[in-house]
Amino acid sequence: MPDPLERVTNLLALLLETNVALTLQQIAGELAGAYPESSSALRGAFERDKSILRDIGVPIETEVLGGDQAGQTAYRIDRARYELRGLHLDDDERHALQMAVAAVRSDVGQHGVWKLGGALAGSSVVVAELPSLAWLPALRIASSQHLSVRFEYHGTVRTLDPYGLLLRNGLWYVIGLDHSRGAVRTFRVDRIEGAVQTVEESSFEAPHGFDPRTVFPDDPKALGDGDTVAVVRVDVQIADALRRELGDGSVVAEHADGSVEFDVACANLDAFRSWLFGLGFHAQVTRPPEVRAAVIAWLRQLADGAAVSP
Amino acid sequence: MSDRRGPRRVADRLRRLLVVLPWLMERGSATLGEMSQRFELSEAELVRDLELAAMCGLPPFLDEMIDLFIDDDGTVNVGIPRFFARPLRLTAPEGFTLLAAGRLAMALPGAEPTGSLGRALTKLEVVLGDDAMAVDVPSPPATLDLIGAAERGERVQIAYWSASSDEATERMITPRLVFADRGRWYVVADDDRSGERRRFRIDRIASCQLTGELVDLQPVPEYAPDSWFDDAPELAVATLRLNQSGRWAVERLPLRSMNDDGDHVIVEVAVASERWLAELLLRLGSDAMVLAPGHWVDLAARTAQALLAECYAVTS
Repeated sequence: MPDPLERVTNLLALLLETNVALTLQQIAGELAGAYPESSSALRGAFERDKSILRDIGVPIETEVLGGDQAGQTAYRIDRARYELRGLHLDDDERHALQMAVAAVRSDVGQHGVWKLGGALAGSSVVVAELPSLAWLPALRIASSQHLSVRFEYHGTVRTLDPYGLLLRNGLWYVIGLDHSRGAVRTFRVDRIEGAVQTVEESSFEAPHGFDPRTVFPDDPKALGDGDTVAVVRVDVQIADALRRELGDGSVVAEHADGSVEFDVACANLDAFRSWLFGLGFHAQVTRPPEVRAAVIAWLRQLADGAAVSP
Repeated sequence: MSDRRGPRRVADRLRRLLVVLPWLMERGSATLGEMSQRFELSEAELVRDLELAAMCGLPPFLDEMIDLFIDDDGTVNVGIPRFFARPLRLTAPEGFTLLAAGRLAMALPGAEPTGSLGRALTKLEVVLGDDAMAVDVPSPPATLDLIGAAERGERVQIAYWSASSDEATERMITPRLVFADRGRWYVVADDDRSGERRRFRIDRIASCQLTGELVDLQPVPEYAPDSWFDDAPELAVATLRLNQSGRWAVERLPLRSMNDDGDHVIVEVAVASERWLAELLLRLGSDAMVLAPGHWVDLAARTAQALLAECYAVTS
């Protein structure tokens, strides 16, 4: 049996070379002997080859013929759309991209690097987190081409003008104008259900200089209404670590026993509580009274064993 | 029929061939050794696919399509390029990954904002289309020193607070790998104190002192964040029941199993220490319940009582 790579390589060359789109029968004729003779086996083999080409990103154009071949589908590949053009990287630029891809350990990225003429970079001592999700490339392209997208989220279909994408704390978000809400909303890309569809012939203008980072605060504890700040007292064991996390500007008071009080954003009480309990027995919230009371109430509920049958 | 002949494998071989050929045509010739290293293929695989490419051809230019031959000394030579002289355009996922990886690298500690990477990204944007993509990777201050130390093989003195044992220790470590997982930064290092290779959370490193003392560089350890706890198979496992509003925890936990019945999620999680589990239960509140083992069923209640008494002077 001939190597299947040979047939698909020949098919690719043929479709690149031809000036007019070719029907399946013409293709089989040009690549004499490569395809089976029975028409159903021929169709099956050709479909497999076509899907291999699509898989690796070869743009196959199809057209439905008229005249005496009316109704038949014909195929070709536009060389201009096939070839990577207009990107000339200097060696140092290529190397920088190579290193960037090495740090995210991405096979897909490595294929891109090879196309740009780069090599396989050695292993990097840094591994940064770049979650790859199926719909990210489509969202990026829609955002770049100012096309609206449609997808299902929490069981509702949303139409969104995707202003931009944001990677934060290992999660991807898409931010844009939600048509049904008439307001800018943020969606977690990994929570999108089903497919992302681009809305044909749509168009939008993102706000000038839009920066996804400004849409929601980087501190989840500050993500909520208002700007409530709580004061948290931590003991000497973790005071230094907290000072690094929160900055000197957050220090409210330093006590003789080495404990330190900090201002901590708590507009989002859930996030605040989560953070606070992460510090275990080393931290207590001292004020304002309502935040302290809320934390105590939460603990009381647990202490009383109220956590039955969630 | 082996899977090496299946459609998947053919796609991979073609994909690779279509980057090898343009590169080779631009150079004119190259050794098999160099190509093998560069494109992550064995020499045997390379020879097989290159010889096959040389056999490809369309009438009437049967001999002209890909004109190449391999010397006895393992040098690959190409003649006049006709086909595949230029690489296939970047696919959408490749373009996305290059841009995102580049921007991520730009946001890492120690990156220079105006350097070759920045210029490469600008050129890529021209081809792939500009977009508003932002990457935020805040990292603790010690991260930069630890990366440098891992690159050089330099020993580092750290003060570390371990949450699972709740103790602060001074340690001498040799960083080998720095990585982010779920928004947190870790360093994998050879730890003098335990004599083992350990992971440390960088935000729990209270102080970090470069010593200037260099040791041998070693191969970079495997990056396997999903197997966080695999090196400690003796870890206890707890079974938790989470309701819908506690689902967020699922993505952040070292899961051993998960069962979702629509209303609740039952998960088995590896428990690094009782303290760690207690903290998790406090955060989840009434969104979680321990089903097993029995001695942890009231762990949340006991911990909440102790915390109320110790930190808030409240007894229930």
